[in-house]
Amino acid sequence: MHMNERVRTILSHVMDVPLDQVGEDASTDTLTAWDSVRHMNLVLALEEEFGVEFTPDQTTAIVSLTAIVNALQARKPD
Amino acid sequence: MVNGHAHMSFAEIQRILNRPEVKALPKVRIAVLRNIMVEPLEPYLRYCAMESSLNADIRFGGYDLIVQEAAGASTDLLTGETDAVLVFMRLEGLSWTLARSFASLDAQARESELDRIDQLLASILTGLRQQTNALILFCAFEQPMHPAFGASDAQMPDGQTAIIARLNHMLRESLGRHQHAYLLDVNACLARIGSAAFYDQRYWHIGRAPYSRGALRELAAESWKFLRAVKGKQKKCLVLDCDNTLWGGVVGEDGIAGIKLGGAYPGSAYQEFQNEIVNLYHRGVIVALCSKNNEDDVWAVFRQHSDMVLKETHIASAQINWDDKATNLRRIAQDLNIGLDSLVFLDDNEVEIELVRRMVPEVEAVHLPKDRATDYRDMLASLGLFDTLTVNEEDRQRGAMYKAEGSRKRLHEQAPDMGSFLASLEMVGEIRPADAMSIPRIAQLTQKTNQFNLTTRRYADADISALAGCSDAEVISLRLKDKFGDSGLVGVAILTYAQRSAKIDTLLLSCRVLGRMVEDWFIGHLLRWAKDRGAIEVIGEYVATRKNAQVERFYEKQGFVAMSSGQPEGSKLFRFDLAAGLPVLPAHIKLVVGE
Repeated sequence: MHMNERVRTILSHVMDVPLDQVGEDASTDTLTAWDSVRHMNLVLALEEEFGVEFTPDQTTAIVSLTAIVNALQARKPD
Repeated sequence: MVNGHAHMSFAEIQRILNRPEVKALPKVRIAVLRNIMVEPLEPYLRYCAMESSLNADIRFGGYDLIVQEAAGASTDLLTGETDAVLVFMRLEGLSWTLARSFASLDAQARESELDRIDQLLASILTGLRQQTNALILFCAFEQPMHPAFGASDAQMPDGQTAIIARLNHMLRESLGRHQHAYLLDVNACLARIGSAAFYDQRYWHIGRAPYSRGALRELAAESWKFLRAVKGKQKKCLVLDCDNTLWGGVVGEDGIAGIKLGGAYPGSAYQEFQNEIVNLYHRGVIVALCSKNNEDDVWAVFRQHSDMVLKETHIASAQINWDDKATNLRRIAQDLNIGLDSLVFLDDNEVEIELVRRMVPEVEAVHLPKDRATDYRDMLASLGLFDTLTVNEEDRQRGAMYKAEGSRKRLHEQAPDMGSFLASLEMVGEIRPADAMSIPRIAQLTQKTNQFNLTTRRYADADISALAGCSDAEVISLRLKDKFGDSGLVGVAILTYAQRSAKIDTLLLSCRVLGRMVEDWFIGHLLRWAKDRGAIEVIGEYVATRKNAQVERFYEKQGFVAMSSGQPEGSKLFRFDLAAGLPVLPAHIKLVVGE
């Protein structure tokens, strides 16, 4: 699966919203469920799924689908 | 599967928990008070609940509002329906100096901090108890990874390590002053996975969330050991395969002298495993055998092998034959008169485990990997499935009681008829109101009894105390003994009175005394008891559950008359008119009345 899709799937599970509501522009602004608590769960889920560990700065910066994918690609080029 | 989430990713757990059928399970309501961010505990705790067929509804109190919420500041956090309150009060938030600037404290400042915390803990617990009788689980204080005085800290009677141990001692004492309040052993969780894996310092700094996924998983599992017991979902009986489980090798082929048991590796691993089984026996777990062997071979090992730690006297029931294990597990459950869902089955053979999981999914089947006998002991000790809130004298003697039950069964088989069998038991029943000594056991029975339980109302110690102290209610206990031994406290009735009407709020009997007409005798005495108190009628209630169908017609059989009333679905009321005369008491049990 393309990284975008994998991240969207995780977003859908963690935020408990249907996949089709997680758009390419998904961010803390577009998804009301994406609060600080779910953000923590999201980081845990992403780290497990991709086998990475974000730096403290990254964990606070990845607040959109684009930012997540960029951060993952920076750590783990496909 | 036990701790099935151990190998599951966080996203996978969330996906499973989002399923509608999980959300539809009966609820268990948990409130979490905390001075740290601990929200990612929720999916792990909900997963544990799901494995016990429950859906955990978890509410978090405000960040760092423990004191206020314990004093009643939040009206919707603790309600009458709350099953458990978890308190995570991390030392960092409670006393930064004790946690992080310990070396700077002089003795006087340290002692005054300890006094302040002691008083605070007492007021928090009192405040919580005023709001709810629910289970309270209070997380202990973590021992530091790097104690304040380094290598010398452990040598000092007042080093940080010693002082934190003192804090935990204080906390335990404080919890002990309340009923149904327990210490959550965070340091055991920490030791299991190691401090490097326990903390995620990134989130401590970003969001005051100190614990890693692994830590939260561990804390959820540890908390669930208590909740499982509160919800009556704990297991009662350990069923063991023999070859390559209790010993290495196959006794039918290798002979008694050829099996691996005792001495050096690998026999030592099996012996340590047996040792752990015996520990469980002494905690009140029933031990049974289910294996494909010639029966004589197995008992020959038990009787003749000098390195057997597990003895024949520990075994309450055995099915040693060539029938399939699903059938044999059903027989064991029937023989012991317990539900299939009270059984945990251990086998090294994956095929058997799969068969059991498919044929009798109620049984918790645990696979022991063949090449890892060295891990068997830890696997068994880590299950946590048998854990109870307290271990009482009743528990410690359960093994012997089930053994006595076997003797009764054999007598029954030899007796010409039921009447002469019952008479030959020479039973003596003691009926008395609940007292301080019996309250924990009474509460435990309300939590655990599923089959002969007319209403299945679960009560905590505090609830029973409250009912026992109430002027229009009575909590009555039944103790039973016979010529084979003391069965202990095996029956409970709770009567509530309104004007001249007595209502049976709770009526239950431990499954170990069923089939001896104890129920007919007990209800007969309860009717007399109510009459002596001035009642003119007794109302019995039956609330249907998945497990108590056997008592659906109990009251009718005892001469009660069904009432037509607007009872909710699954609940029925029955009336006994005391003016119309009392039933004849069965003569096979002699009464002793305690005051």
